[in-house]
Amino acid sequence: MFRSGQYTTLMASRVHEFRDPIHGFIKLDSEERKLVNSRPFQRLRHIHQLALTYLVYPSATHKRFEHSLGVMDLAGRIYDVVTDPENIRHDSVRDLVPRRGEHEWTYWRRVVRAAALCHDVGHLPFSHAAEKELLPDGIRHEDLSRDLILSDLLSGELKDLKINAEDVAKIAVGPKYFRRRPGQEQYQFSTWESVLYEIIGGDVFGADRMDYLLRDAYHAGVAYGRFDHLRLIETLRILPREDQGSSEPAMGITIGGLQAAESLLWARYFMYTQLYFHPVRRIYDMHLTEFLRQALPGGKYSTDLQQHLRTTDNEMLAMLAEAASKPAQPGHDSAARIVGRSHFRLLYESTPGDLQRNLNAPELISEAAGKEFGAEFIRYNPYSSDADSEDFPVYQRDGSIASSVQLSTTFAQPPRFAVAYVFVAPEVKEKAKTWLEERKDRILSSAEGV
Amino acid sequence: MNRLESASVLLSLTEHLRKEGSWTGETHVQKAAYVLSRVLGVPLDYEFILYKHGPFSFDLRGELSAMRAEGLMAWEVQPFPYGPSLKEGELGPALKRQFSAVAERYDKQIEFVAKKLGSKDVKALERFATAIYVTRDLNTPQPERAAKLHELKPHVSIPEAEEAVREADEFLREADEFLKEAKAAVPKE
Repeated sequence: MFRSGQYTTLMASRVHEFRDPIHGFIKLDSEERKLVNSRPFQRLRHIHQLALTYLVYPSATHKRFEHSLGVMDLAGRIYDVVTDPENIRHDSVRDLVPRRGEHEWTYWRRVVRAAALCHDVGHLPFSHAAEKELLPDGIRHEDLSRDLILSDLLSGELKDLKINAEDVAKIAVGPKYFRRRPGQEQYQFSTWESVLYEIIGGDVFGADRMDYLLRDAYHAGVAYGRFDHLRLIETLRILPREDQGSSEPAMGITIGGLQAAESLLWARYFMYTQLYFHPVRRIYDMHLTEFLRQALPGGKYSTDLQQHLRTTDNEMLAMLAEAASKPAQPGHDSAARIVGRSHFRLLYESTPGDLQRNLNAPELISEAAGKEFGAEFIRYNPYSSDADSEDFPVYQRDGSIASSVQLSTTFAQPPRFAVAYVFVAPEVKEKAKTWLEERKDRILSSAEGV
Repeated sequence: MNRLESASVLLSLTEHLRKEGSWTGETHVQKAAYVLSRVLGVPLDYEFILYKHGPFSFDLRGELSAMRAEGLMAWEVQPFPYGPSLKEGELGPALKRQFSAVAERYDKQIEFVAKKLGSKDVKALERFATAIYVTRDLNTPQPERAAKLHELKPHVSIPEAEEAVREADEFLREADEFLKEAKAAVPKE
């Protein structure tokens, strides 16, 4: 935790620049560059942001490295806007925010930017694909990010930045993952720290979300993910939730940013429906998971930090290519399906009508198809988006605060995205399609009203 | 409970809260679900930590978000200055029809929580739920727990914190009696 006077100087040294297709020039100082040059951060050059999505959208080959730089850039901008005295109208918020230019303000700005840089260092090969299945129970990549930030592997760089590793870890992974550390007390997140975490990981306007939508859309070559993020950032404010009768602060916007916020929500909807939920992308993730489960020692990734740093997409892709060419290798079948593009095909996609009849419709169809053709020829993949909140405070022109849901029909009735797929092996696809046409009604009727 | 069974409990909880006059925003459902699972023992598998307005579950936020995405719940706009309420979505009737037995199994506990919490606004819920959290965590006298509550939520004054801790003690006593009575009412085989 920061203590006044604990650090003697936070003077920034020489400024360096990265060219970036999304944000133009991303600037950082010499101490921040040391963090970028560290081994955990350089590893992100070899972790695809969107796993095997490039097999569907060929140019989606971007990596966690540039995404993390982008998140740092956006997080710094957001910090500057929300801590600007001109943008603070409430005493409860004024009491919370350090004064611009003071040592404490500079300290937390450094923490936020370092946390944004490091928030993904724990990512496994192929990012989110297979994370849940291939780590020990209850462990997520955020746990590895936290452990790396707190380890000797980054301590020198954070010391040079004159910031506390624990503060960086807190703001990078947030309260859900930070508190899981063995031996930690339960009450560590102050209101200020919660607000700083929202700058990066917030489920409405977090810098992470803004950057991945813009960057994924750009690299995939789809226009859907674009929105006016510069306008949105300029209107971000820390606001007490007076609309809920509470004085607890949260991240919100001024009324002038409402349309930019709406466009972010729509961008997200389009990106989920067109890119993240793309059925071929989903089945490649499933084949990849199956391959790794068979190919990795013990069927899991190691959580040892040194081993983690040695494991990137490159090593896994080399294993995949070898397994695809050698039938005796573990995971050969799944690897061959990826390399030879003989992936499973879409047999069924959930529809509102079928779900009205039976909420388990996709599962029932998957089970029935498995019985008919053999479970090895069928795959079931339900998918819903990450946690989202459409309800945030909006500062109106008369000085009052209202909920976004009250002011915008887009937030009151947000576009929906949840889907479940049933896939079938290409060798039985035609037979299965005919079978489903004939049997679907009976499958749903037999279980109707269960 | 599987995912849809838990969803049916959450939908039932939402409807009971509305019946008791609650505005039923996400904060109301978060705090009621916390009390329902941690005090009344309904097996909702959500991890709670001390965060927004007291005990808060990221898992539950994700679940409520997924339920809205799937049409099981929806927002209902309330007149200014109130925030939005959660209500049944267009697939809510299908959820209730298919999982009526699950919601019925926990109906008494849900009703108990809704009656006790239904009339509270966000500020009162924050104080109350945080007091329950502190009480369950610290086995210490009331003044110490009130001081801890104030330390965790500085916008809650010491007198407000003391009142909240007293209320939490009374609630936990009533909940204990309720659970004993419910257990005694189960016919012996």
